[in-house]
Amino acid sequence: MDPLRWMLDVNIILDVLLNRQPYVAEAKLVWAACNEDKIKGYISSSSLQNIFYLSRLIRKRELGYSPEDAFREALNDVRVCMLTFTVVWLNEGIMQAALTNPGNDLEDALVAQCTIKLLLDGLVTRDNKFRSSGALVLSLADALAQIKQLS
Amino acid sequence: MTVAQEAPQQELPENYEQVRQQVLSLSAAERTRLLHEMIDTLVPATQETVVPSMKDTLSYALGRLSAPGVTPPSDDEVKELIEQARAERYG
Repeated sequence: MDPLRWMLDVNIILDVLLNRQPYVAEAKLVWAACNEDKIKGYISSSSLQNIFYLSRLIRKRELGYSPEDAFREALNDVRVCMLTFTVVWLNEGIMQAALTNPGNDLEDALVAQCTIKLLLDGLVTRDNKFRSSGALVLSLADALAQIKQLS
Repeated sequence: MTVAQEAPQQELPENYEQVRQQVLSLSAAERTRLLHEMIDTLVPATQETVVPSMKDTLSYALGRLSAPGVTPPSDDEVKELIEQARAERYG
């Protein structure tokens, strides 16, 4: 059986990278399911950029890295995401659809349209704002229930 | 305490002894300078991050952006930080 194909909101990925309580417990199960090929996880290219910017900034400001080390390790954060998830590159069709249905956040609209245009099985997020996007939204609880059924 | 693992034995290059003798013929100051230059070449190698296996990226990724005593940003704070980072980049 082909694995389920889920778009992952960047905050799910950041829950793991930031070890953010209490969400990390569920987020890491989704990440692990991707490692185990139970799920095929997707991430938008805009999310990768955001991870890079955030990682570099936090490493410099909060974790005491030099600018050079922060840059290098932020690249490694992007690399580990690219190893784990399939990147959805934004194209004109996705952008046009997001512009038609932007909600109040263009980046969120792009993530939702990636889910819709690629006919993915769902968008895993903790953000209820996605529920009006037209994409099939899965909470972490929904996602974990589906993963459990696969086991 | 972390104990460094012994590097695996590698076959020495043919000209190793010749190079060693040449180095020993240098003055103490020259050998010290050479030693520092050689150590500098090792720094990038020791800072290399181990590339994770595709099948276990979770253990590599978990908490990479966290540190004891540092409260991670909330979703709203993340948005704000990304805005700040973009402002740094694009002005």
